[in-house]
Amino acid sequence: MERIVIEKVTRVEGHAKISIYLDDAGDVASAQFHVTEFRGFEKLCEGRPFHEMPGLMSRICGICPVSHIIASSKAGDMLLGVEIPRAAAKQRRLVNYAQVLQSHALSFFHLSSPDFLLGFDSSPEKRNLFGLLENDADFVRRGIRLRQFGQRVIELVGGKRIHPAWSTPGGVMHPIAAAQRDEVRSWIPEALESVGIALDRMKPVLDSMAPEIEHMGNFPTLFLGTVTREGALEFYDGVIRIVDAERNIVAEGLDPHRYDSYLGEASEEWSFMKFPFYKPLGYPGGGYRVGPLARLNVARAAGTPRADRELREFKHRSPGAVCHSFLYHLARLIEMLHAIERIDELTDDPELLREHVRAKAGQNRNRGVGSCEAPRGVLFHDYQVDENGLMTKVNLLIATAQNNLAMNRAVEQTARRFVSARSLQEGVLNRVEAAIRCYDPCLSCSTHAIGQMPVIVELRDATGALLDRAERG
Amino acid sequence: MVLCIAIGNPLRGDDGVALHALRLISPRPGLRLIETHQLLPELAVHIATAETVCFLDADPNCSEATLVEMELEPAGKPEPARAITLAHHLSIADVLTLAIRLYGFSGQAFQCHIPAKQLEHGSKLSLYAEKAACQAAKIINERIEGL
Repeated sequence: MERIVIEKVTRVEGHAKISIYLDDAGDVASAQFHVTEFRGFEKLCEGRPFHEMPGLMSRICGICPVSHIIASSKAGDMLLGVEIPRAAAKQRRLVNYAQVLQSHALSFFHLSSPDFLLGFDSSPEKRNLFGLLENDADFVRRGIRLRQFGQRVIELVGGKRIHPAWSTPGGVMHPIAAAQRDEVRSWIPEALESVGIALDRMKPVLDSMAPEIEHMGNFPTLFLGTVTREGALEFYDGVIRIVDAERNIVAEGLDPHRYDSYLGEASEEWSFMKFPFYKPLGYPGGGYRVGPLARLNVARAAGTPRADRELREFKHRSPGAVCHSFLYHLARLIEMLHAIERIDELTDDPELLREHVRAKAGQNRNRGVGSCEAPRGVLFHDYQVDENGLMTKVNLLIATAQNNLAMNRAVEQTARRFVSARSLQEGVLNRVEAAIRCYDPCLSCSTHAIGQMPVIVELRDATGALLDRAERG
Repeated sequence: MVLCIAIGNPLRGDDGVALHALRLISPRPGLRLIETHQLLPELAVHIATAETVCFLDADPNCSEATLVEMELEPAGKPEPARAITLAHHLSIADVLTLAIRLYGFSGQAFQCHIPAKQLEHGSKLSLYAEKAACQAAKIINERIEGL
């Protein structure tokens, strides 16, 4: 068997390596997406007071700290045994939508759009944000402004853009002033316009690239996401729904607090990232996808007018669930639209400005589980504490890890379609990377590791001998 | 307007020296200070509103604080090839290029290299870095007064 390895995947966060194995005939036999970094954040937290956890957890990631703070705070709420004030829940919702917006804007405009707006076969030196800038500066500016909007909301409400520590077990630290709310509202018309322009740019791409999209991570899986009790798109609170590739409901109304009764985590010796699966179907058959594509597949409706229009059109792209990984990009745009609409609604709600934002209590439980939808999918924080409130066990089930099986399948399918020689051509390298970028993985989060992510690809023959190697970053 | 941007992680020892130096810069009208863990595209918007921008960053390869004027790439010049990793952050040169090409920044840009030695976990600066931060702030204060 021969093996191709893509090392240092670019324009994702973390460290990874891709191995492509060829059979005796020189065809792709299999592929593996290895995550080669390790941080062990869960272990670092043992012995810390649970009140410290939101601040500690925000340090896992500079891109989605808000989701970690929120899941951590919710686990803390459960340890206290309190229902937090409504204004606090609304603040958390507002900031989580802002985080989804800024993270998706970075992924779509700056990391992924060079692939499809400049073309997979364009030179790697040009196929990046700067190449895009020469091609369409206004598009890049709009992406920057959308990120700036999301970051500004986080800064206004959370106190700072990166690693805000305003949310805490029992609620949040301070109320929002009317002036802060008004500033948030002033951004909304431009943000809606920019996402509309991006949707108009994206949809024709889906038609023009249809043959490529068909072979870039298009396969049946389960999809898992949070929905309201009525089945609508939900990012902060709700129940878990799982659908299959035909969009049949496999499980509904699952309690996120009991995630470990229906989700398992497998390990493979070739990757530091775990492989979560749906327990009733076992491993690896119970592999599922999370994140924008999954959320839109499980939700019956978005619950906001513009996003609902787009969601209806999105669902018409397939008689069952939309299984094309490439459609994660379109799903991201629809979620951005939804997030802006929800931010608009929240800033119109007088309850957001109420001053009672924190419920105070002592520790009332020894285990707390918090979950929310992070930009890349559902996130679970599971804490066990002793009688002094010190952490004895921490389990973090991160969105990117939940897409691990799917990312491996996407890499393998893309390699089967595009690798046809015993060496690595640039176009192949980028298509395999692009298949991973559909998931916008944050490997720092999922392995709880430090650092940015370059890529290494290795091609190996049936005996394991290295045939070719490519590295970027 | 003069914009000073300090880059660093205050939980990685001397890596946070730029943030420390920034707090030692004398406040004055027309001076704006930004602290950041990493450089992100939206910083280009803020840079574009300044006449002078100064990036402060820890540098384990220098022995004394130095202020170096950066060469700006003209907006009309073709973009040089960049086989770079574009993860979730940019380099100083990248963010400056964005400010020039997207927003027409045409002011002066400086980078202040601040010596750093201990980059391990922890929120304390080494004595070496503390002195370097004072030195960096002094140089920047003098430069701003001279503008």
